[in-house]
Amino acid sequence: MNSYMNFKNYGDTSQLDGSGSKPAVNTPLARQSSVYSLTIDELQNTLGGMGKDFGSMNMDELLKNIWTAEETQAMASSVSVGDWSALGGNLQKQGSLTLPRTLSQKTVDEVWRDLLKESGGGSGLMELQQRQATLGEMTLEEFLLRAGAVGEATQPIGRPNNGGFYGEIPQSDTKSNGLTFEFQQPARNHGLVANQIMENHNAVSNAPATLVQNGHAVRSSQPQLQLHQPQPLFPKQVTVAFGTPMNLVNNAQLASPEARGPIVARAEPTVSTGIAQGGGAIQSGATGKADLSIGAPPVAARFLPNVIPKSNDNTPSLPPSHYAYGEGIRGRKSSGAVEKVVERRRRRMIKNRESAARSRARKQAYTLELEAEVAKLKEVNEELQKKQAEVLEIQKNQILEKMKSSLGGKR
Amino acid sequence: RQLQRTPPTLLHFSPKREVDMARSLDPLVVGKVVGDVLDMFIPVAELTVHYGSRQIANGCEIKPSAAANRPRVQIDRPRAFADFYTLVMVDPDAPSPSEPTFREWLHWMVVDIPEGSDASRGKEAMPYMGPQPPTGIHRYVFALFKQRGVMGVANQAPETRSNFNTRQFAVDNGLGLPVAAVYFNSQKEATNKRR
Repeated sequence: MNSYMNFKNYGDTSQLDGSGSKPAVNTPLARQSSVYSLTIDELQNTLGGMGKDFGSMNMDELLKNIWTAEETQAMASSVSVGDWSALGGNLQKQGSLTLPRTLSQKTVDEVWRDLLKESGGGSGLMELQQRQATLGEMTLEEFLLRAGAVGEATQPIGRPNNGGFYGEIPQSDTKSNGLTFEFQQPARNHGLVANQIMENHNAVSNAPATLVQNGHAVRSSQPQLQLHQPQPLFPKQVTVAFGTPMNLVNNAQLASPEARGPIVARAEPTVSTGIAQGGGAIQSGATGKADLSIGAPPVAARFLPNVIPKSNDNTPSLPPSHYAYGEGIRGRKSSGAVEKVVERRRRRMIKNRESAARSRARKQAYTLELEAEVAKLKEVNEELQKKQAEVLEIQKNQILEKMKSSLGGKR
Repeated sequence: RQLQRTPPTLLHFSPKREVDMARSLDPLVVGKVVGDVLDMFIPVAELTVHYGSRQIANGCEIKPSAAANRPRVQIDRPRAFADFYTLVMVDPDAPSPSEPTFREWLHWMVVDIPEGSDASRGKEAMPYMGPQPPTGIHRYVFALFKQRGVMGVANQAPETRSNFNTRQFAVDNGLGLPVAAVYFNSQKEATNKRR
């Protein structure tokens, strides 16, 4: 259960590290490094209802809003966010998405419906509310991905440090673990929900380190915004908690991930646990390595069948095609370079942890010192007051004595 | 001057004093001073360090500019013996806490300090150098050792400040475990440079 412990540990760390690790839950724009991992709901909220409800918005308008959000985010650190007018001027520069002509004229709702249709008949049961919920909870990346918007610049959108990560994952190690498997799964066209879940998961938390990798991997692939339908098993669990409608959607395709159950909720602790569970589930299928080692694709593929049955569900394996896709893209780099980036990131993370630990120790040491000082001063104070009382008593007695003697003399 | 500093009731060392001294260990342990610089020890002397009017409490923050000059160091010890003390001041986090390749950086060493007095009454084996932390928040540790007799500066003065080892120095000179220690934090001051 080493891996299980690891999850907990990372989850704990992330909590300690501050809310920065769950950007989507707090002020998304301020904290997210990319707008694209926001869910559509959040994006809508943060834009302050500037546009109409996204659903009836044109795709073009949606893009514009995205650019606005990106701009906002980019400028949030330096200027006040309220400066929308300035942002508007920069809209064109930030455009990193292109839409197929066919899409731009559709409304978001239509696109969404189309996407669902693509994913198969299993979603026929979805009701309007569910659609709304799922649409809202899908992250921007997911939605655009599925809609077929192609990103021109993937790197800026994604997280730079994730950029190389995804591709690295499959190759970094010979050992394979459950998480890797999912990455390695061949791309299958299972539609939005899987990605959605994945994205939501990413958006929600980076808590466990394993998940971080997961999330990174996911994100890095996402920014590419290519039309592929990766089906990450693992993230799916996460999303399930977010939108219960998700459970109802795509039963046929999403059976396996869904079945893992609503493990993750928005609350940070739950996330860690959920992820741990999910990780545990995955790990149980694998050799359960303590560290997140990533196996080569063939290995992963081999393990995949094992993983699925052992998970809570018995669903057909949903290959995260876009993981494989991303990995294929990045796999073209030499594995050495990729490993170096992984190593660098790991080192950075360790350094950060140490720094955080030092900071906590510093704070605690000073607190202890102050408490000791306070206790000492209180004692001193008490003694002084006692002494003072004694002295006053003596003085009083002296005066009384004098008075008595003087009175006696007068008589 | 001493009387102003010390509360009158504690001029005579009471049993409570030892409790206080034991309590003073915790911050040193939590702040990893015991560990990185010193071995576990029992504080038996009282070491008070003042930069100006500010007294050093473990883990407090002092600006480099406030610590540029020698502090006033007072050594009080129960049961006045005619002992001599050595004081060292080291920075275990040089040049940076995350990569302390210069650990420990010797900032100051004074030997043959007569008991119950100021460090200025001792002999400076290494001149005082104030904190100048280039990056990060550094700890600056004062460690006090009881000497066995008089030492004399000549054979004690280390050649360089970098990579000083307090433990080894204590062993080499028969100083044993420290009798007192205190530390503060310092970091580079913001210069408010506008580019």
